[in-house]
Amino acid sequence: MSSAKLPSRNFQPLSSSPLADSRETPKQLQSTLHPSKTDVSNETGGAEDEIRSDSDDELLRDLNIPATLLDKLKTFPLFRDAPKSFHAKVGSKLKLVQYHAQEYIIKEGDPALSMFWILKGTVGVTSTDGESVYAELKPGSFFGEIGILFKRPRTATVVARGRVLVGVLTADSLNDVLRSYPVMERRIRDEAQERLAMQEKKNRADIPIIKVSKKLSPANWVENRLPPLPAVPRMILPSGLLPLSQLVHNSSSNSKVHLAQADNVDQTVSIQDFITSVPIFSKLPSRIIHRLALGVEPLTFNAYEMIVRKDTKGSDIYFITWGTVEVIDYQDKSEVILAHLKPGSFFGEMSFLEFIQGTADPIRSASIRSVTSVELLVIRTDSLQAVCQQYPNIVAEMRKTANERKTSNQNALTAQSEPPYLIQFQKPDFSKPSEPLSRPVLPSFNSNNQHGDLTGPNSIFNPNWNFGSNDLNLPGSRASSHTISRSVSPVSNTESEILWATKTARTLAFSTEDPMKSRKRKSISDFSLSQMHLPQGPIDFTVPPEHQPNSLRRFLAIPSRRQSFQYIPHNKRIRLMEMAGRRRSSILSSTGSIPDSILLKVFEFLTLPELMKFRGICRRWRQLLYVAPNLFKTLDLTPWNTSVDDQALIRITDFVGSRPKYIDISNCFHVTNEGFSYMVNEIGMSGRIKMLKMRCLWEVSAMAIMDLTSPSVGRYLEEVDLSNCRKVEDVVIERLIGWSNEGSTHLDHPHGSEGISSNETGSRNLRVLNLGYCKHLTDHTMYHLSKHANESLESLDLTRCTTISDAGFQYWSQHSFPNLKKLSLKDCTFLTDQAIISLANAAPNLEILDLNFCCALLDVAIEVLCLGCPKLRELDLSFCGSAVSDSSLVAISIHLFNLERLYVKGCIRVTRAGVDALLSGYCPLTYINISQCRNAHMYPGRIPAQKLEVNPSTKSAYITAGPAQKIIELVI
Amino acid sequence: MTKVIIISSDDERFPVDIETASKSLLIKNMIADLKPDLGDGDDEDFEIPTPNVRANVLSKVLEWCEHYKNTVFSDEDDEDARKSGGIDSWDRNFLKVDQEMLYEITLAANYLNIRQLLDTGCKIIAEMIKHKSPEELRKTFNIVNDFSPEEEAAIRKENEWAEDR
Repeated sequence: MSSAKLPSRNFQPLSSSPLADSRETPKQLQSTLHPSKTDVSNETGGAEDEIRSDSDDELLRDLNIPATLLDKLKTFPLFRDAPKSFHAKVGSKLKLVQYHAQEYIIKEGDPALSMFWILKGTVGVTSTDGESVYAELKPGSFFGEIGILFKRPRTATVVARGRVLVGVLTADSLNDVLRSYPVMERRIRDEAQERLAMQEKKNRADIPIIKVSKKLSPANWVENRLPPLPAVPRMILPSGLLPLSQLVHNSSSNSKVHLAQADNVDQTVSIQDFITSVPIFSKLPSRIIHRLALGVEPLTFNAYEMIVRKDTKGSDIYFITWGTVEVIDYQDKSEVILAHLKPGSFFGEMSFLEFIQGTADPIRSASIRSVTSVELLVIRTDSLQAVCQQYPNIVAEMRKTANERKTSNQNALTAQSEPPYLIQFQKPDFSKPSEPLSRPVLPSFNSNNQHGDLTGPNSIFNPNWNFGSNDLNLPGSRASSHTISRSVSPVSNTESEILWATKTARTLAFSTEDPMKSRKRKSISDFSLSQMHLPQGPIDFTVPPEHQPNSLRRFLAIPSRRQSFQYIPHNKRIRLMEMAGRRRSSILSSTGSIPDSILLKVFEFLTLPELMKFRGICRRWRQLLYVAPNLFKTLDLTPWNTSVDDQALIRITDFVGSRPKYIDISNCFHVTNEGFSYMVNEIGMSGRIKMLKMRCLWEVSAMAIMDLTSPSVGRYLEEVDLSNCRKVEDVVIERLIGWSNEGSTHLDHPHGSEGISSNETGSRNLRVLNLGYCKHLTDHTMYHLSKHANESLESLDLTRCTTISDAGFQYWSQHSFPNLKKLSLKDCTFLTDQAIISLANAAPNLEILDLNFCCALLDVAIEVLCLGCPKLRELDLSFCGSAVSDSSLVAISIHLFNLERLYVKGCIRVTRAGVDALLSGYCPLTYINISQCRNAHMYPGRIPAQKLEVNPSTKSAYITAGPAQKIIELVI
Repeated sequence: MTKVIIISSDDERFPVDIETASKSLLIKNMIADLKPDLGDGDDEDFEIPTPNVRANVLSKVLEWCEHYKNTVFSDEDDEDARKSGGIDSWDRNFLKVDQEMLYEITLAANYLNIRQLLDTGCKIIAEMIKHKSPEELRKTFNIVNDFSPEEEAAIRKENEWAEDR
């Protein structure tokens, strides 16, 4: 085989790929490793697709794939459990390409057509200019699969460090292979989706950092924030917990240097792998795991930060992926470290179990603080709850762990302190009776209260450290956390021992009580605390206010970042409300004379600021405002556009919950990423946003806007107005529209119908899209629209999208837009007749077309429109001076049988002859605008025409004309 | 002419025209379902009990229905128009009643499904409370403030964005 011939043959499908540049340089195929591979694969390529996987060995022989390559493939994390035949197929499709040092393998922004596996050598993932290095990838890694799975342009540049041998799998071959392996496809796609989701969540968390670095231009910003090939496992993932955590460790420690961008590299651990490795989830079907993995949020803490505070509310479960945390309890003025937890452990399950059991808002039974810097995954209550309902055995497992922890704690603690995980938060009213008589009447609350400020220097540097006695307190977690340092010498302190003794006594006394009973009591009191959704508010109606010690108030009022109202999804509010109704009818009577049903109706007639003010009237009103389903279906902030900034938007979001379906935040130009993302995620994730108008939110970055495109938000969107969102780029629109994987999903795809199918990406219901003034949009957007939104789009506004050219419309001529009724191309001054020809082909059902100021159009455009878009009802040709003439008006008058409104403002070639033609033609016109047409008042040859009677105030004349003798308003 | 007899909770009988009664969607549907031939020479009157509405309230409501008997309300499905529309001056005068009565009329309009009257009633109540301070409002509606000062301050802080701008 000749080396000159092979590349061209092998890379035929890649002709427009990123490899195109490098293809010019003769590439040596790695024939040493692969003597006849390429030929074989090409010859057997067709037949291969039909081969069933049962004849693995035969297949392998047939394909003649070197064992070395196969072995390599088997080590790829994604392919670990794949059938042999799958490896064989991938192996056969893999084209080997060698790159020289410093050669670009892919370049940022290029269209993605293939993915790469590194077989030999190292590559660097860098920014376009090569200045910042995001990652170095070693053999076994792969890159570029996000690009082909999600059809997005390359998000970073990859350059060869030395001589590099990569295996290239084109999108076509990958799809070809995956078609026969739906499970594998699912796995790869899931993985990529999870990484993307994770990436975006991380990015969101990073936003402040980025904002500071002014050096980055907006464009760079976006590129950098896009996961630069995030799907880059830097090592082969071994199964099992410990290596996994170490892997994370390695990658994170390596990348710390690169600051924000380096976070991308942390994505080396498959979230799915991690979740699967957690015992309680290990038996779940992959579909569920995927769902969990998508919902998981990464969190990082520096060393010595509080992660969970005792006695605060919350029932999310945290999983440690890297680092160590300590479990802390507080015993009269001192903190006691009960256990250390290591990667693979989870915490927070106690509260969650309570939540599942019906406690409305459980309270944390201990505090968690980071020892080292820690990376966590948080599974939110809601998502886990849904899973638990489906798989009750998870709850059972968790309860088992919890019980193990409890018992082991109790065993270890009888001598020392209270069980760390037992609920220690007790209301004075019922904890008192259970206390031993010998105990001084010191409400347990006061003691807690004294170190309510958990981070205060007192509690941290309290002398009562008792590490030495703590090594037995490890909760029964699998994580063998026996490494707790005993080296910290215990300061023996008699006082603390005495305190402990008392505590222990109390605990014992308490534990004689039926635990279920005490839990129940607790849940009742909890419940009343939570129903007003004020995490910190002392709202305990079961206890008359005068019985509430002031200290309780203060204790509960631990300041949080945003005071007084924690966001609670609307459905949860409703649930709480329903429970509330059963328990406290007494409240109802004290609300004054106006009946609730009327009050709710009245609220509909009040404005948002008024309603926000009225939640301060009384608790009942506030509760009604928080849960009323009839309110805030439409959230229109335009009347307060100048007052709404990030903080306000966050507060408004907290107030309205997930109720809004139609959101208009147009012109709220103070809003930036922070507020916008908060709103979109809080409302979108648990509600259904059908319409979002965000005109002129020019501070919001492309990355933040892409929050809209996450599946849980985007799939309900029907209308989006992004006009004048200056940072919108092609990729935003591509992801917003999404794509369907035509072909591969429909053909012989037995599992295609279940779970998340690949068709679900993007907003498939999007009908109305306004992209006016999005000047960064290029013909790529036009391509994507034509390919993936052509069936669904009903209205599109491309006003002043000056970068879109005729070529963009050329894509359109290939696809029909049967439902496109309204299109605005106002101020698209560079479009020529070619674009209109393509348009007329693509959108025969257009009814409203705005070509205002498309001055490059000529007469041909009008003729084409007359023939191609016969359904036009409204046509704006203002200032299209070179397109509009008397003859084009004649053409309009005899072809457009539906035209009702016509604008030919400022078209100086129009004379009265053209106007007459319109008036007497077939168009059912009711409105013609010929203002600034200075020749419209005479016939050609300067023959003055009859003067029209103009109403001086409206500057229009009413004329009865045409075959139907309709009244036509003629604006002069 | 055949009448519809609407009976109040305290058993007072109000004979009214079908057109008047049909202003209530509830009654209109009831007639359509139970007595579709009402008014076609059938001499028997049709009795409809309204167990939730007291006589003096019902008479007010029917007065409103009588006034608008021949008015065809546009089928406003446009929520914005419905909400932003002003209050007719006749309605305003008609609803110059004490608070209790206003609520009861509005409740009755809700129950009888007379949307225009319900909307008007709500708009008038909304106007009543719109520009009031929380303190005034509590007085108006006889509400006890059950927030602590801290909580009130927190809520005020949340609302800062909407004030003084």
